[in-house]
Amino acid sequence: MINKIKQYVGIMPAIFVIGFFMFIPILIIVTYSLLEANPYGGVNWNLTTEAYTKILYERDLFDEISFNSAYLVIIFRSIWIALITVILCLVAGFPVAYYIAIQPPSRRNFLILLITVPFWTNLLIRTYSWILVLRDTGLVNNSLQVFGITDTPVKLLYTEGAIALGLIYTYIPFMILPIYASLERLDVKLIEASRDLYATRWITLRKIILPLSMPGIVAGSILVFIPALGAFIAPELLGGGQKLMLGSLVQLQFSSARNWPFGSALAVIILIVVMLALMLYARNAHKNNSEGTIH
Amino acid sequence: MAVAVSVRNVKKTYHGSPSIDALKNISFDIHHNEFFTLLGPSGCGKTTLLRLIAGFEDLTAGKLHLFEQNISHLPPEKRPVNTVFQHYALFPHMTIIENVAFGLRRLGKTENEANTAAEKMLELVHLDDFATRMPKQLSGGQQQRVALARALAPQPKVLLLDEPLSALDLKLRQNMRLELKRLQRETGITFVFVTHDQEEALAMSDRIAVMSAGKVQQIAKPDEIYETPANRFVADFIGDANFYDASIVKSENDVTTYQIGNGVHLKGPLRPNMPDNAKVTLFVRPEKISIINFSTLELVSGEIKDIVYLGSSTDYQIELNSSLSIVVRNENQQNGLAIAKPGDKVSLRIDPTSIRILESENS
Amino acid sequence: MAQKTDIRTLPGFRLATIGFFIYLYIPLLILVVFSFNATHSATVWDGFSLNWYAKAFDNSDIRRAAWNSLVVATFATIFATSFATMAALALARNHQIKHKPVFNGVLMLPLMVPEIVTAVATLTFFSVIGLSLGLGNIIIAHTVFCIPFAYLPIRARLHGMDKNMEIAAQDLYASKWATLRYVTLPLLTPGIISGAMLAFIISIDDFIITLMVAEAGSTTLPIYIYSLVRIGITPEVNAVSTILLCISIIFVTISYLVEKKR
Repeated sequence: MINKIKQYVGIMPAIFVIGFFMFIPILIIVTYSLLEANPYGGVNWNLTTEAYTKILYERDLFDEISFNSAYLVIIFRSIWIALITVILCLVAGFPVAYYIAIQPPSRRNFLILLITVPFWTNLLIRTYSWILVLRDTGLVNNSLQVFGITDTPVKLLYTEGAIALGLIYTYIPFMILPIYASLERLDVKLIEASRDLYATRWITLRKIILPLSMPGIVAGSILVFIPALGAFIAPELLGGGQKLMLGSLVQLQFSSARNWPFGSALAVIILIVVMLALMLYARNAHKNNSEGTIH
Repeated sequence: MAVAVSVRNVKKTYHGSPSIDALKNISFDIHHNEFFTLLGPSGCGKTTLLRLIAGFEDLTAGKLHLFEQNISHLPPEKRPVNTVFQHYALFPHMTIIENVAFGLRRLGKTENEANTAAEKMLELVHLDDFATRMPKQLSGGQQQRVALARALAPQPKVLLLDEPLSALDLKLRQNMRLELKRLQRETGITFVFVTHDQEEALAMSDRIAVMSAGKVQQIAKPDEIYETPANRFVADFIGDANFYDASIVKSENDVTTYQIGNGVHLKGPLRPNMPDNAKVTLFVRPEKISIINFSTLELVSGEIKDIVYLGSSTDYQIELNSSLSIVVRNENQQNGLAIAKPGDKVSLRIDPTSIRILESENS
Repeated sequence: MAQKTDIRTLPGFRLATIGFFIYLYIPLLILVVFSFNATHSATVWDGFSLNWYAKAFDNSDIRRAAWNSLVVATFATIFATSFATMAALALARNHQIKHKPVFNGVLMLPLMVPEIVTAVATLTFFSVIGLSLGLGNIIIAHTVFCIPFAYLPIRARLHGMDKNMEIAAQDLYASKWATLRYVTLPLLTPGIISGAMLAFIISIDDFIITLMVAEAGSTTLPIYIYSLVRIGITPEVNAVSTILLCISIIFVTISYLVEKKR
């Protein structure tokens, strides 16, 4: 018995730290989302679904409830921008992953390092650098004016496009790396076999390469979608806080708005969406694994 | 005889540091309806040549014709040849029937036509019950036959086979040899077969091209390759052989005596137009020598050093003098009992006609 | 030449890749270049100067924030790396442990939950239990999400390790502890260093969680940069950012080189 417990001693500190400081806090915000807001911050211990109804309805001065789409718009904008980010990351990332995968090994590793270096640098700084490019006196607008394409600066910063650009910039390594991993394992002979059997380059891409890199594409999509959905920095800095996304909305509830239950409810919604995405991924991965078994 | 594949002055260089000349100016023809084998050790260029014919790589110089059509620079999908890959390269995300129908679909056949033809091909390789399985659910031998069916389905003018049997175990490999021969006969398609396994090459081929270091060393029928190899490389690569550097002692009545070592003489055929005291290389296959248990002065004699039991035969390593030895192979006809033991003094009978004189190596 | 003959090439993909790398590095390049600008503009070049670096080093707020970042990252790295090493060793070498996938899942949890959720959950939790340790709060929060980053390279190294080494050590009369001390840990060191490096940069770069959890007086460098950006864009921000950028790049490169050296 003691021997059995001894086996678990090693993992306990890590499990305890994550369990105590991460798992329990999440349980607490789930609880908070079902409590009444205290106008001075914190909560009153009364169970209510107020925080969730607030997403759809608002209570006016006369305590009448009416439909309010403001928060719903933010939620859908977040999901929409996250999806756009995923799609654009895929479109831009796939050729890069493919090109790197067919390079000789030494160059391959170097290019992968080139992709990961910005990823490991500060998110805030990376996003800030885009302000320098996009703002009215930034690189793009300066070039446009120098070449006489426009007279007045084009509004690039503080748009949804700017947010998406920043999000792609931030998360595209999450798309490229898993796709690269699945392409790297792809047997060249399969491509040769396809060409040998009268398929052109593009048909080979569609019929052989894309289907076989699907696990990487799915993994990459989820890895991009999750952080993009709760993104905070890009919407704040590149959206200027004008195009509110879920991340900013949640942060707002815990700071200036002081509505912790509402903030918790929004956080729970993010968690649920993420969990659905992960379950989808797990099911997909499981399917892919079981397909290969003998008889 | 119609020429199926004509290889003319083909060169292939892989640029890099250092650059590698995989094929150095190769020319030969492969006949229609032939089972043609490219045989050689790894790195000899045989697979490169196959890949050039398939179109997976560009040739550096030279020309390739397929039934008189210049295919030198056509992409693989434009060449009416198909390949059976070493590890089959079946598409893992497609069923067996989808794999076999793939080429037909690309050639513009409707799904129905393609599936009907694919089913026929599966029947030909006895796998009609497996049409809806996935490749991973099949054994190695079955996958092999699917790969064959897939490559044969579009009815290519030439079928290229890249060491297709190397991943199979011995018994299966032997069965597949017969199967491949049968398929070649039944379909009438020209087969170009790449292997490093001499036994496979000898057993199946109509003609064999032995390759080494980017060059063709000899093209001939299997028995000619074995009995009258063109040079030392071919003689050494195919089967086992004893080689000796020799000088001529005397010639009389079509028999020449060669000295192969201090006091050791061999009688062999005379090579035409050979100057006196010329240096030559002699070789003799071990199974063409017989061991005699008594000694006469006429015969070569020596002492048995080592005995290697090989099942159907036994190899005797015999020391002729301190720096010279010979291997003799004896069929195990009498219950596998050894006919001699290490330390025995024996004499050897070597028929002069079984001794071959080799040209200097073609390199 | 080799490209042209490779059957796998698809037209346009090379160009797309070049474009991608330009996209990836141009903004960072601009950031670095303008940190050396002589005038007060972060977008119009007026000549080279180190003024902004001097100014940044002179700023006592920046110095304090940098010190805070360093303290937090150092402690979080030490804790996270030790816990991750112990967990990786236990999971890889103790065969009687049940529910390994569950434990693995828990270790990966900080990677799966969006940062903003972790941030508000941790904030709420600290306020519920009334924990107020200044930098201590941040160190705890950072330790939690640094664990998976430290864990992954260590686990990868353990998986790639020849188990026969340990068996050979035991065969040569090494006890369990001697095997760990003289064989396993030395072989594992590159993985541990690599994991520690990653944990360190993840901690030093963290923004959202720190923003939510930090109390007054425990400002870290990213938080300080954020407040500067909100006020206005000056080359001083670029200078501080460039310093932080260099730290990250140095650490990733070391991690990469250590990992590569097998």
